[in-house]
Amino acid sequence: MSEEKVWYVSAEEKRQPGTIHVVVFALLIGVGAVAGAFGSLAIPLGFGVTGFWPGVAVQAVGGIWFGMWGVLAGALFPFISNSLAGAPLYVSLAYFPSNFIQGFLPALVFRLLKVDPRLKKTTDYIHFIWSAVILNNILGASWAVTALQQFGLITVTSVPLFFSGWTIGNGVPALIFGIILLKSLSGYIVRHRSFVKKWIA
Amino acid sequence: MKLKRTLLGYLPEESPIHSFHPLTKLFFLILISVFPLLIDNADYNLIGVVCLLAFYFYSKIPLTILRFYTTIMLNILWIIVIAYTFFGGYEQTYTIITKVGPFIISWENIAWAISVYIKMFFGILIIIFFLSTSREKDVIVAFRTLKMPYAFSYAAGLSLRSIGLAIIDFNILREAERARALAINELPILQRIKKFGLYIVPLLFIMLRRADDFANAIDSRGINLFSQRKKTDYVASKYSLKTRDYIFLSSLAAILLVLLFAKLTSTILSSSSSIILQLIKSLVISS
Repeated sequence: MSEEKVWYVSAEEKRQPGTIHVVVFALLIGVGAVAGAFGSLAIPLGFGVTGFWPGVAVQAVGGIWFGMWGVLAGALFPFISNSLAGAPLYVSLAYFPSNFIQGFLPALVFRLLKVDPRLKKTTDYIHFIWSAVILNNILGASWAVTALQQFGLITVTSVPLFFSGWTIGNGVPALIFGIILLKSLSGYIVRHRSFVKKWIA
Repeated sequence: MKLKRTLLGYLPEESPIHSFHPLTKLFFLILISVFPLLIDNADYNLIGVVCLLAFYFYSKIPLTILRFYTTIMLNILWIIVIAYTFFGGYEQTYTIITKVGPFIISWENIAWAISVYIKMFFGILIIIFFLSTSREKDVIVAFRTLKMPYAFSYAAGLSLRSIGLAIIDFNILREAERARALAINELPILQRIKKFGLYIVPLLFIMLRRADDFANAIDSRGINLFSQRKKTDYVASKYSLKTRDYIFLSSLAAILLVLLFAKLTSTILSSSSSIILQLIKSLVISS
């Protein structure tokens, strides 16, 4: 299956959301919560920000594979992993846009530019790195530190510390585990009925 | 003593919290979580902490559950102290306590660190209370009482249950590694991080296979998650909102309105009005 065929929806193909998408959405929240809690407990920086957060890999690949189901799952599971890591509910709520964009941007880029999730070419890796490792985490970190600063939880002077902690703490696991996951599972998932070619089916 | 399983542990069956409707528990979490947002005054947040601990006692939640969060709370304390004390910034009006190299330690930053930590502590206790008193069924019943779409409440319940399933899978993978003589806990942190990839791939693969099984089970029973047809809700029919639920929620809403009014019209909730901080300040400055 070529990269064009991965995203191609033929005229005869009728795609609609089904039970499998709701189930994948729910189960992805569980897996993401465990992956996120692992990182948050391993190298915590405070307020749920960590020096290493594998959950972002689940956010990125979840959005790429499962469209909005994966993006929403990626935005919701941090509520659970942050609670387990000791962040109050309002902090998790403040992080929602950050977690949403971290899953949404790679999903958008892969669909718009028809990037192969199996990462077969160098350009696929480049698109993955700039959208799912660098830019999404910079945008996520920008919103998160702004929210923390508005709530009075961090000072303006400590913004660079938390910004770099978020960006690097998300970027490194997104790079390592994101590539591992895409290379190892995309070949199976693009043929699975849960794979979302558009946004919800 | 009979115990009921909750999201975080176990709770005695005779705990009075079980007599409240699950929707009350959910709204308690949502409404109370706003309190530390509105209150900057350390005195009032401490009163909130004491009241919440009283709720813990009333609900028969073993305080030993807080032991699991000790390391996290100490880490947060450590980070807040460093971030505010050394990176809190400085203005001419600040009261200098001491200087450590290029860093100016001022009372205002210390006071802010204390206020923020107490706020965070209050917020964390609220979350722990909810997780210690609620079950997955409570969350489902709460959503169904709110007449949320069936697919939404089903997904919420399944996602909470799937956390336990993911943890079981995670432990099975760890046991499989140990059986192959891989002792991850003894590896340096960078090696442990690398080996995490060994977990995340099979966790997602198991999730996909499980998703197939669950979806097939639902479809084979003729259940349509997106159907608009009214379903008989057996689980939610077992619960009903009682007078105590309405009184309790009304009280919380009233307190929230009072706090909002106080926040908008006075400085009583600001950290500068805190008596405790003024006491600490006099102790710090005199020493």
